[in-house]
This record gives sequence, structure tokens and C-alpha cells, in this order.
Amino acid sequence: MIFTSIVFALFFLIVAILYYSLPCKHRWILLLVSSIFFYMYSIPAYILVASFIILITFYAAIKIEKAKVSEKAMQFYIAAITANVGILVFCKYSNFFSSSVFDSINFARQKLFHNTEIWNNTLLIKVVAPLGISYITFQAIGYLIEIKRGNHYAEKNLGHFSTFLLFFPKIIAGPVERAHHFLPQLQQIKKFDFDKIIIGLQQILWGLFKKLVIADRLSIYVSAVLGNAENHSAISLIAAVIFYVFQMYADFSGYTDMALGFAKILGFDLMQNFNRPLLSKSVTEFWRKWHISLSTWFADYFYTPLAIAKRDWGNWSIVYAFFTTFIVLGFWHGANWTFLIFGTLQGLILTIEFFTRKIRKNIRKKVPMFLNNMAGITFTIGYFALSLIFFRANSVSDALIIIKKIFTSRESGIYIENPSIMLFCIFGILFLSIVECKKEYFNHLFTFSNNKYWLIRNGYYCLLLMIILIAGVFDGGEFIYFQF
Amino acid sequence: MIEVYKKLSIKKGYQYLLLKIAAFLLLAFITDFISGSILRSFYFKQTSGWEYRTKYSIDGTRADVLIFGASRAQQQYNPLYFEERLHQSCYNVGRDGEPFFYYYAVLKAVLKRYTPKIIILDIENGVFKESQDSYDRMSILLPFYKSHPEMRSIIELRSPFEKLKLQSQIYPFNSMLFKIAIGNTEMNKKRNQDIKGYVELRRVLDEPIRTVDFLKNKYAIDSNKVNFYRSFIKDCKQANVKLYIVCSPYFIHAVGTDISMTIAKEIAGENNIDFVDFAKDEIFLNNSKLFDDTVHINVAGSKIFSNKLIDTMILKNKIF
Amino acid sequence: MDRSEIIHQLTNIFIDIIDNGDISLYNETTANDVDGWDSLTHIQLVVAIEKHFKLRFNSKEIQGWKNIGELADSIAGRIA
Repeated sequence: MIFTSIVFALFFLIVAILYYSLPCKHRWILLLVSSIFFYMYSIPAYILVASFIILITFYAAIKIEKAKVSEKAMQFYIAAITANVGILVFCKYSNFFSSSVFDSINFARQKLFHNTEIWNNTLLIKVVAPLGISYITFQAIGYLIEIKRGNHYAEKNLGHFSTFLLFFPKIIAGPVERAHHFLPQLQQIKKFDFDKIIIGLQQILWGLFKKLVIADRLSIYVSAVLGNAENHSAISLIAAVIFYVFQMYADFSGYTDMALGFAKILGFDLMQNFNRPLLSKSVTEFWRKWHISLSTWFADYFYTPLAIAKRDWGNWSIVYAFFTTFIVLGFWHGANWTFLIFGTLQGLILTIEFFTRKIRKNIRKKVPMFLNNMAGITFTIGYFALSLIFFRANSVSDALIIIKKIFTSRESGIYIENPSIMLFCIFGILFLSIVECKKEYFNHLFTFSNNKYWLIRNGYYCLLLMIILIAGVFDGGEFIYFQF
Repeated sequence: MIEVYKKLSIKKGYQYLLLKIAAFLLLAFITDFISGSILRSFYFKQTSGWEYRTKYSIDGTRADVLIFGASRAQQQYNPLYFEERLHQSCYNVGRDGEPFFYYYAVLKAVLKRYTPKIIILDIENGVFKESQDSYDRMSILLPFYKSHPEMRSIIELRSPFEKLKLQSQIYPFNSMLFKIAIGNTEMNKKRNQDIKGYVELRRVLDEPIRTVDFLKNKYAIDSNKVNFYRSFIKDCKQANVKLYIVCSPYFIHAVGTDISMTIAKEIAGENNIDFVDFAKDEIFLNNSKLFDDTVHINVAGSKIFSNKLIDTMILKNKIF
Repeated sequence: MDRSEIIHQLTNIFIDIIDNGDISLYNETTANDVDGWDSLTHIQLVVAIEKHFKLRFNSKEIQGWKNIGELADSIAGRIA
């Protein structure tokens, strides 16, 4: 059930009506039941995998908290972490590893023994990862780490804990919630809050707009060009790659806005996941504003412990932590060498920015702020676009073909087979840019969405709705982050 | 009014939430109605372009001879030859990229207005293939949903909630804003010109013929498409329209026959409909220069093909 | 060394590492209150603090600090 479907809208309407019809103390049961239903809607059997993770994590956390001896706590901790990581690795990466093993064997046999027969991975079962497995395991692992550190209590109510991990607004693609942020909300009595519901509806509308009008429209051009890169000019490829940045942002942040909006209607505040990242003036700043729930998860549980453990290396501990963290973060996205390169590119630029921060600060003092901002934003979007070439490509060689064509193609002219699509794409990017710039730089001057006059406020929402009907893509788009 | 407005500003429980949502929906309905009406007006005012041709096919043409199909109909059958030799008016209602749903919807609209004398239906390989894209492409029929009840059951197949979406006046014109705007300009008349619906292809293919093994090329069949094909034949028979079903030339050396083509021939045979097959015509298989690409003939090829088809029609029926 | 002196010395370290002369630290100050104090600079701050006060924290201590006050307590406990 994707958020933009009418089936989901009906499902949510029923859940919301039932939710506010029930007494407050029983509402979590409805949330759990509807989350289980949502999870089982595609492939019912996968609930078994989720249940296993929930049970292992729940009981291990209680044991860790209760353990009188730290070695005992450590045993439960390692067992539970291993189980979570093991399931994640098996579900997401077993095909990759087995294919890589077979590719290596075949390569060796060809080079060493001149044997061209191909051995295939026919023995191992092709594993299809359960819905939201990365998000479930990461939230579980984060929970266990906080319990072990003594920063959070172990949840004693299995139902509450299950609801935390399976909560349907965030199960498909996050945010990666923290237990200490979510569980107290589950335990608080939630009265009907009119303001929250209106805010939630506003978020859903804006998320829907970004997804249907901007992301899915850009995707048409991006797929047409990047899916056939050998036959397009450099300028078309550059346009497609830049469009892909906006598509990625609109798609993912649109989904997140909808997730936050649905949760808000039910009275829950989920973590903010984006903070206008495309207006970042450095890639370092970008990663503080993009997929915040995941990057802070990695910062708290990966980067910081790594850097602290190796702090005797001085600045090189930071470099080491950067590369390791972003390579793992890249790999989290999928089992492909392209994601590794994506991660490595992030580690590389963050290292360069780290070592040049003082120089750049001095330059900033001498350059007008507007120019400085423009240069920073342009560089950040450009670099992210370059790394996304690998992120999107099916293989490293496909990505290199695109990059080679960008820098060596002598063909002229931009691909505009359908002017209407190009016009909608440009409109979408402009609209998004104007809204983001307004929120970033001019929010104090005026607002449509929170205007005090009912007609202006609702007129703006009607305008968004009309644009969705005129310019939205209804022919089955899918969220990019769905696959993770 | 002011009292209502003041009430809308007060934040209270469920009732006021429902009141506020109702007020928003009313505003949305009014905006949707006005915007949709404007779009509808401009859509139907177009005098050139693809949308105009769709409109003309559905609401305008009264030609005696109509040519149906997808790109292989639109870009291969030149109505001028049919008019010259059959002495009857001819219009090509073929439409690039459209699936069988479109052909049948246009037929229903046409037969509601008048009865053509001859219909030529071009059938291509894979015409009955199951594909979500075929349903998505029915979007070009959405503007006609309101005014053409005979098309509604076909259009509603597009998605389970299509009927609900079509309550919006804007939705039928989704993604058409710029096309409608351009279609209302004078300059658009010079773009994508056609000859009574026929679009010339001018490239010349220069490569050796390739082999396609249809025996290995299996795919799922969409029963909706097959049913509409049967209905197409039945409606033509009932209306006393002389129907020819044609497989126009391919620059392909075929091993076996495509599944859809086999089904099409069988059903045509069951209904005693003339099925004219040019897929193995030696004139075309031996001459790549008559082709724009392996599945479309060019202007030169169209001249030969159209006339050959007319020869066959005359020979088969001796009525001209 | 009393706590106010510790916090004064911490302030100088922060100003140096974060390169911002406007920093003022109090017991309740957290990373959210100081512009430029993030996971990146946090590591550099820890290294600089250890070097300055000539001590070594363990991971549990470092991850346990919720504000400047707790950090100062850790230092006070080590150098007392």
C-alpha cells in the first residue's frame, strides 16, 4: 500500500475514525493491529521476520537492563545486535555476496585455467528483503545501544514496543525513529488535537504535491535519458542528472512529509528528516540536513564511537570515521558496488571539506554573502548530482558510461522529445526552489500556509490541490526509498 | 456569512474539524469546477495538434473509409490513395502508441454518430499483450468521459478508482495544460502536420533484415483486449460496416507467428472477416529502403502498401 | 581547580576548536546551544580537552555527557 494510493487513503480514514472513537488507553492496540495489517498487505509471511526481530530485541533489552553483571549484559547485547545485523545482511546482501563470490570464481577460472564455463548461483535461494527491514533493524539496534549505554529504560510492554517498530506511517521508508522519542508519545494520553490534525493534513498535501507533481514528473525525463545514456548528448545527461537530484529530494522528502502528516493526525510527532538540504553551502552541511534520522543514527552509533576509539590518530581518526561511516551508509542503501562508490565519494568530499574548513572560512569573509551562498549551493548540488550517478546506476560500468559521455560527448542540443514534460519539470523545480528559498530566507516576511486569513490559507491549499490534479503524475509512480 | 466565518476561526472538537474540512472541500470543489471548465473549453477549442486529431476522430470525421490502429496505422496508410481509388472520403484515426482500448472507444463514438462504409483495422504483433502501460495510455480519452457515455465502461478500466477521480473537472486534463495552450496557437498548425490523420515518415532504413523468433517470444495475453477485439468485429458487423483486418509490412524475418497475430487471425476467421497479411510480402522483405525502421514503412513504402491493400480490397469484394 | 575555572578553560578550548569568539558555556549548555558544535567538532573537542587537562576519558564517559556541566564534572573527578 503506497501512500499516494486511494486504497491507503481509505485504510487511513478508517484507522483514524476508529482511533478517535476508541478510549485513549486502547488506541495503541488499534495502531498495532493496523500496522500489522499494513505490513502483511504485500507479503504476509514477512511478518514472521519482523516478529523475530521484535521479540529478540524486546527480551534482550530487558535482560540487558536487569543484568547485575556487565559481562552478562554484554552477552545479551551482542546476541541481539548480531541477530539484527545478521537478518539485515542475509535479507539484503546474501544475493550480492553469493553473486560476487561466483563472479570472482568465474573470473579466476577464466584467467588461470582459461575455462569459460560460467558457474551460476543456482543453489542458493534468491532472497527478497522484507518491507522496511533496514528501518526496523536500525531502530532496534539504536534502541539496544541506548539501553546498553544506560540512556533509556527497557520497554516492558511488548505491544508498545511492537507498535514502535511497526508503526505504519514510518515503516516503508522511515524516519529512523528513536525509542526515547516515540515510546513516551505512545504512553501519553492523546486527546483530539485539532491543530495537530490540520498541520498533519497540510504536511500530507505538501508531500503529495512534491511526490506527484515534481518527483514523478522529473522521473519521466530522468529515466528516458539516463536509461539510454549512450544515445544522449552531454547537456541532456547533465540536465537529467540535475533533475535526478530534485527528483530524489522531492520523492523522499515528499514521502517523509506524508509519513509525518499521517503520524501527526494520529497525534504523534516523528523526527524531522529534511531541513532544506538543497540550500546547503557545503556537503558537510548537506549531510546534516538530508535524511537527518539516518545520518544522526550513523553519527551517534557509528561515526562518533569510531572516531573516539581512534582519536589518538588525530585528524586521521576523523578521516577514518568519515570513510568507514559513509561506505557503510552507502552499502546500507543496497547490495551493489555503486552504493559503495556513492558512499566513498561522500567520505572523500567530507574529508576535503574538513581539511580546508579554515581556508574556506577565510575566503567567505572576503566574498559577498550572496556569491558565497550561490557558489556553495551550486557546488553541493553538483557534487551530490555526480555521486547520484553511481547511486542510480545498475552497475559501475553504466555509471562510468554516463560520466564519460558528459565529459567527452560532442553532440549538441538537449533532448526534448515532449516539450510538455520539460515544461512541467522546469515548473516543478522552480516551484520547489521558490518555496524552499522563501522558507529559508524570507519566512518572517509572509506566509500563505499559515496565514491568519482563512481564505488566503485555504486558497493556497486549493491551489496546491489544483496543481496536483493538473500536473501530478497518476500513472503509478513509486517511492525511491521504498526499496530500502 | 460573517457568523459562519467567525465560527470557522474557532478551534474546537470534532464538529469544527468537520466544518472546516467541509468548507475547504467546498472551496476546492468551486476551484476545481471553474478551472476544469476553463481547461475543457480550451481543450475543445484547439484547431491543431494531437488532441485536436483525437477530438476530430471521435466527434468530427464523417469519412466513408476509416483506418484504425496504432502508429503502424497512423504512419503507414495514406488516405489520399484510398480516396483517389475507392472514390470515397477517407480519414486515418490511427494513433501512435495507443492500445486496443483506444481503437474500440473511438469506434463506439463513431458508430454512435454515423455509419462508415469501410473500416480498416491494423493489427500489430503484441497487440493483445498484457501491459499496465496500455491502461495508463487511455488518459487521452479522459476529456471525452463526460460527453461520451458509450466510452465510459472502457475508460473506467484504467484504474479501480477511475470513476471517483473523474468526479474532478480538472482531472481529465491532467498533464495536458501545456499541450492545450500550444494547441490553441497558430504556430502549432505548422508542427506535426498530417494528411487526413496520416503522418509521413521520411527516414530510409539501410540495414540488413534481422530474424525474430516468435516461438520463443511468449507473453501474457490481456483478455480485456481480446474481448474488445471481438466486440469491435461484432459492432462493425451489426452496423453493416465492411471490415478489413490488416497486418501491415514488417522488415523482419519471422520464425513462427506472434501469439497476438495468431489469435487475431483465428477470431477474424471465426467471424468471416477478411484478414490481409503483408508480414511476408516479398516486395517489402527484400527492400529496407521502403522502411523508416523495422516496424514502420516510410512515405515510399506507404505508397506501395496503400495501393497494394486497395488492390486486394477491390479484388476480394469486386464492389468498387 | 574549581568548576568555574574548568568551564572557563573549556570555553577557551571551544573558541579555539570551533573558531568562534562568541561562545559562552554554562552548566546547562548542550551541543544544540553552540553553533558549530556537532559530531565532527565533538571529536576534536574531546582530543583537545584530553590534551589540555592531561587525562583520558573512556568511551562510556564521553557518550554519557549530556551538557557542559556533566563534562566539567568528569574533568573535576579526574583531576581532583
